[in-house]
Amino acid sequence: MLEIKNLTKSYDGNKVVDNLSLSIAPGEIYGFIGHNGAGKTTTIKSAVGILEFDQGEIYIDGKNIATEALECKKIIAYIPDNPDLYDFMTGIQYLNFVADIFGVSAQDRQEKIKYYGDLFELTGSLANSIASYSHGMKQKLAIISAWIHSPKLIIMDEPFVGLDPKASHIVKGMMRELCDEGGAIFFSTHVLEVAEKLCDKIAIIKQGVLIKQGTMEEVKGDESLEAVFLELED
Amino acid sequence: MFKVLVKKQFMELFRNSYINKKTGKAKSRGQIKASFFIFAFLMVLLAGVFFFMSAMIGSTLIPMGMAWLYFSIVGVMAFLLGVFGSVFNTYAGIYKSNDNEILLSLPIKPSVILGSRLLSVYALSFLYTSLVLIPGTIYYWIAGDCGILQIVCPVILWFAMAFAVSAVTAFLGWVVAFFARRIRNTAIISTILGGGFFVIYFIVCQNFQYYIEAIAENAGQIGDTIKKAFYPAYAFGEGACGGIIEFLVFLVISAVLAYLAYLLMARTFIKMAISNKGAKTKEYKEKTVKAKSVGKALLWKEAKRFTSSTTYMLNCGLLLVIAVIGAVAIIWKGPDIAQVLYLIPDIEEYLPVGIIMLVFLAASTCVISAPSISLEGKNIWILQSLPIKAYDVLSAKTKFHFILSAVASLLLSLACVFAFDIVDGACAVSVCLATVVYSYVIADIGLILNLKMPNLTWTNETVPVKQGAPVVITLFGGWLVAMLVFGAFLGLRLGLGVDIGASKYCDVILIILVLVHMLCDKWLKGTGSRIFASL
Repeated sequence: MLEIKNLTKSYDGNKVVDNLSLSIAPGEIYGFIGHNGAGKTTTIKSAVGILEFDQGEIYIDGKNIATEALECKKIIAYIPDNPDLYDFMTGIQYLNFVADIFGVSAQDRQEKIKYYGDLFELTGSLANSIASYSHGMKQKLAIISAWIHSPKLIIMDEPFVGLDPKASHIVKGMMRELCDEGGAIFFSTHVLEVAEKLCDKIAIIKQGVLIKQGTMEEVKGDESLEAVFLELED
Repeated sequence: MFKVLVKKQFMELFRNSYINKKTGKAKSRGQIKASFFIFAFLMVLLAGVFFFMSAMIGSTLIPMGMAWLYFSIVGVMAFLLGVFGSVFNTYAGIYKSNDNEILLSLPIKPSVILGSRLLSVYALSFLYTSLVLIPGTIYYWIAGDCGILQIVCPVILWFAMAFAVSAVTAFLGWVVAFFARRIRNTAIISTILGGGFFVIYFIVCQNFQYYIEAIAENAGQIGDTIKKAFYPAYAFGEGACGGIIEFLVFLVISAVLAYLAYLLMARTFIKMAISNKGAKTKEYKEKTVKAKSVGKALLWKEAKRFTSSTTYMLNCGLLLVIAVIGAVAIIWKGPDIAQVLYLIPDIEEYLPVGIIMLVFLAASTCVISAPSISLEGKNIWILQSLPIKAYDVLSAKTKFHFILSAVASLLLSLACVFAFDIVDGACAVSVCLATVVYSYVIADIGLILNLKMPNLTWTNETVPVKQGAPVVITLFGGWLVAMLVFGAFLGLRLGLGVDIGASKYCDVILIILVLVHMLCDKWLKGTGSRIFASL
């Protein structure tokens, strides 16, 4: 579903991502962990086509993001680390805007907005301006907007930040459900317990270089993910 | 701490002048000099206009021994310009700054944060008031007295007037913030109020000569009324002429006003700065929705962005007000003006091009597309990550600008064509079409400039909307083009003796504009789209 081959990206001559390769198959939840500034966000932004990279190739469902960006973007959804949404819209206006761009039918979107809005207990607030939303509410809205067009691949940067425990639990369930239906998830996190419980595969990045990847068992063996991560970081 | 905050305020205010927003690197000396030269040129130009207006008033009142009334009128003009120019900026700058919460979370007294913000309000007020007061004072020194008191007192009063204006704008900004917390659609309401201000200003300007004559005829009576009913205006006028008591009284009035405004704001700053906008919540009720096409959705988004911001509407959509008032005024007064105009020999040969210039001047005040990329700010990831072509995004921005601007320009041109009796049908069509296409060209140019000079890191939207180079260059560049169009026609006809006729000249202008639009559109499709994707 997502294949990154030899990705390299530099800023002012400093390599922030160096020859990174990874592959995510349909049905997989793939966790991406690393310290602050390790290159996670740069990799994610490159994968969703909003950041140009220097070398390498990124394929989404077999399509090259550099040459077929539009086709790739049609089947993915992206949630950034900070949900900066349109403050001048109401929640429902934003969801309808995203649905319009993805060509989601009126009936389909209404069903999904009702379903996910109720699930996150956000339906009652959808008529209010996004400017009045808390960080967690904005994050919930960003999540609903990501799921509204039934993407095949969802790429998320720290999706659990700002969410209450109940909402986090719901999101984890949604992630698993999407993968069970043949989709895939690629997300970064600092919460190692979440990664350990949720991910099928994991990759650890340090100073732009992928230092370990594989299934959870392959990466951590008998140790805890936290112990492996700290060991590798040292 | 105060110094650090003031430095931050002014760094943001002048950041565009010395930092390239796209690369984050410092501009070259040449670029910095060019920015300051353009700014200085505009200031001198505006000061020239006010000098001319001051001369019109002063040449009547100063010889009559009513210099104080002259200064009172100049002072009121400065006061109104200062208040109108900075009131919405004050609201946005003090209460809607993105960094309010972060600053309030730091160990800094709220009063210090407020004080630093108010200092930038004062700087802006001083800028506006001095545009009127400095040329007004210079005229007085030329035509009136030039003793030591007449030099020192007005100069000190420039600073005092800026205090008074800051106090009033700060209070009005507080009122706007107070209501903004309680009502929805504040942007529309504020814009209507702002538009109302503009209508009054327009009417006053239009009847300026009449007012001067009325003042001259009734100077004594008006003077008495001002003394009794508008004592601060009298104190300012008399004080500027060297009246020590009135001078001191005005200083006290300014200081008291500034202190009261500060007290009011200091008491409520935290509450109003961090409270949610549109605090009244509304329960969502499911409605049947109609799916929109990508183009319509993007266009709707631009409309929503525009109508949600008073600052954006007032500063970039001025044409819409000008067009409606102008069209009504032209239809109403047109026959009288035409009667006078047709006394000039061969005027019918110049009128179509004159109309084009007039509407171009008005259309150039519509600069909706010029800050539209910068206004995406931190939200730019949304459009970049969605499956839409960059060109579709850019196209929606120019189209939205075009729709509003074209309707307004067409209204204005039609009013002129009918009022000034342009009988050549083909020529009338050319004039109208040229003004409509010009709207598109202005939309294109504004967007291109913003793509070249984007500012996505603002903390206050007045920065890209009011101080952004794309907005300023589009506005004044548009005016220059308008004047060049008419100047070239005059030059050809009178200077070079080449007479192609107004109708053909309008056709040529139309063709050039269509070509420019096509070139701009091609640029937006290629280079522009690539720039947008890489922002």
